[in-house]
Amino acid sequence: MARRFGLLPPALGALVVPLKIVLGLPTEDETRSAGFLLRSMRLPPFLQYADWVLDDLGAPLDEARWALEDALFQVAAFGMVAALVVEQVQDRQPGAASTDLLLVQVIQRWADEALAGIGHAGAFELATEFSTEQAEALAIWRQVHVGRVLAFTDTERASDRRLAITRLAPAIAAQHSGHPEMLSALLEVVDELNALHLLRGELMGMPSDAAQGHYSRPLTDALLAVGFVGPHLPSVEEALGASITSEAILPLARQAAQRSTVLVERARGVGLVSFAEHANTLPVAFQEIETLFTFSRSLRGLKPAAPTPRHESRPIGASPRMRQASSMAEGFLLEDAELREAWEVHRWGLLGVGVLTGRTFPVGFVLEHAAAGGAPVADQIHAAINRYVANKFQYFDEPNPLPPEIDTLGMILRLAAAAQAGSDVLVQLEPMRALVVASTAASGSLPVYIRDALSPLRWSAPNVDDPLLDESCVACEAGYLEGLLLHAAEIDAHAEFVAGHVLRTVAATGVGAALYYPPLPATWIVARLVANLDRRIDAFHRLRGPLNAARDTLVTMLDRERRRSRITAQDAALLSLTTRRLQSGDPEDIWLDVLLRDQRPDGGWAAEPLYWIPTLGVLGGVYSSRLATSALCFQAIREWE
Amino acid sequence: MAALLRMVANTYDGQTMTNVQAIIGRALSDRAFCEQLISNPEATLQANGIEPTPEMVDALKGLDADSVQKLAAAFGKESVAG
Repeated sequence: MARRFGLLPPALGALVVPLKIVLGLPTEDETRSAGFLLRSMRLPPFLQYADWVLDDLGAPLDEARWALEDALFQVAAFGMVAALVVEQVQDRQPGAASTDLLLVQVIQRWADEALAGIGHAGAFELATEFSTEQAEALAIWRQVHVGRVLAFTDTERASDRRLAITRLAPAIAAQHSGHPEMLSALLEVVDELNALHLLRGELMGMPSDAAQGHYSRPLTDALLAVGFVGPHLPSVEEALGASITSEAILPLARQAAQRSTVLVERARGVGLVSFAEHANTLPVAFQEIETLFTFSRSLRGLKPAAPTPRHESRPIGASPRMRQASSMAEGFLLEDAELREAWEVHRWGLLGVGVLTGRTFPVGFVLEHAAAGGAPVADQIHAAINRYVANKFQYFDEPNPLPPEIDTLGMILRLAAAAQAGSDVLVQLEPMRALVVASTAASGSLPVYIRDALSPLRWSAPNVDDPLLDESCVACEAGYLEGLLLHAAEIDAHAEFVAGHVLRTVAATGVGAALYYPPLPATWIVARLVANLDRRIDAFHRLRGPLNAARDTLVTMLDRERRRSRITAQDAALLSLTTRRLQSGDPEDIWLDVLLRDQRPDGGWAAEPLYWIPTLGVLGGVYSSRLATSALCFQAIREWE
Repeated sequence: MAALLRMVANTYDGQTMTNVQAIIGRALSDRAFCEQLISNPEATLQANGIEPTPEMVDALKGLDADSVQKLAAAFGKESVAG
């Protein structure tokens, strides 16, 4: 291992010294050193896990075992070091720079090489599974480190899997030595051991965590217990004082001591005696911590004046603050009558076709959500529809080299429904709708761009021949379908055919087939279609089965999205709107907190990425505008009222 | 430990203590302040912008400075180790 670190080029060497210290290099026996890491109170003895498994499962002491132990040691060490560097970079620790992420790639490759050398089937699947869990936990942990009070609720989840990668070496040790049946019990023991070590480190590391704005579970519990409300972040003294005067720390230490005792018995019970032996040191450690905090009993009566728990449930509908927020948001949306801000998207070309910069951009998205929130935008909607028809189903005033597409058609249909436009509008849209029907594939899918060679439309772009034009997008299909259904008393054959395709696709793959939209906006768009269909069809309709299956998949995806590590205002709006459409529980109060907290004094919200736009010469751009985000937030708050 | 004390001391230097938690937290990192708080809670609290209540004064007078410093020392060990 020391040799490998020595081969690193100087440009990647900034973190090498601390990493070598963490690994305990150099030592007399370089490859076997447990190093400084094992003495740290913050991390469990994960470098020994694989050895313990092999000992406890009675692996013979031969050359093959030594080779396996060496390889697993490198898997564990390099895997964790890679994760630690990421943490250092994310946390902007002194000496860590984003360029060190290149070092992570190198170190991770070393871990992969060691893993491949073992030659164990399924090893990389396990590595992927644990790495994914760790990545998710680190993302949450990172948010905690940023110090947003919002993240208080995520701290416990972040601790659960922050060391998930330490499961890999012992898991492979168990499987490779012929005991795959041990995996479940082993991982349970490893997870609990990790969690207890982290908690112990967090309890005794409160001063350093508080100084760095790291809100660990003990700090979080203590601050909430004394009624800390922010919006400022607590000082070091406030945080430490809360740990003493609150009731939060003693129960944590006491429960941890009890958990440690249970863990010892659990490990012994499944034959993992080495783990049990180590875990047996933990009850005393937690009892010592409990003793350290016992002196503070006399201080428990000391509370700040009139504490107000941050997440106290409140009567949502009666909140003047919320009415004020929605009124301000409506004012913001209506202030710019032409919605110019939403148009100011500078693009350098779509699908390889150069276009002018600063061209106008569709405002339909803004209008749709403003109308859904009750804003009086009927005149603007009629103007948008008229422009779309006048431009022969193009939203742009300028000549557009791209063919018309179903996403905008769906939006125009929905806008027409929102503005209760007359049947004459539908007649005007019929040529475009007929082209979409004619473009329907045998599977029921629709291309996003409709480029029928016989099209009577003005579109002609001999220089555009990008295969991307023929791709479909399940979110665009769902948006188009919802638009159709809003004008139809009955579900006609075309709509049913496409709906069957969309629902089956969503049931099978979620919104992974949404080409242009990120997962959460795509989930929201498809959820609206599902809600529309759910109201229209009975239990015996042919679409009922696919509809229920698609809804189940969306609920699963929504549950994942609800656990996201960082919730922005747009996320909160989309989560709230989607939860209501899928009737999947109640929107969480904390989403409303985010919406209200992040609203600007002018009534709007900061622009957030909404969907991908292909851009010449680069990977692509993401469309965002303050009006678009604000329209979503406005609708979400209105639904809360 | 010395490094930890310096670090903590730097964070409150020049700030105004605004609540009881901050006072108690400061006592963890400053032995002299801790002893002053326990021996003369009324004056120390007032000097830091807190109007002392009988409940506060009684609680602080019952506090053991050695226990506070023992916890501070335990915190310090972790800081050095980690």
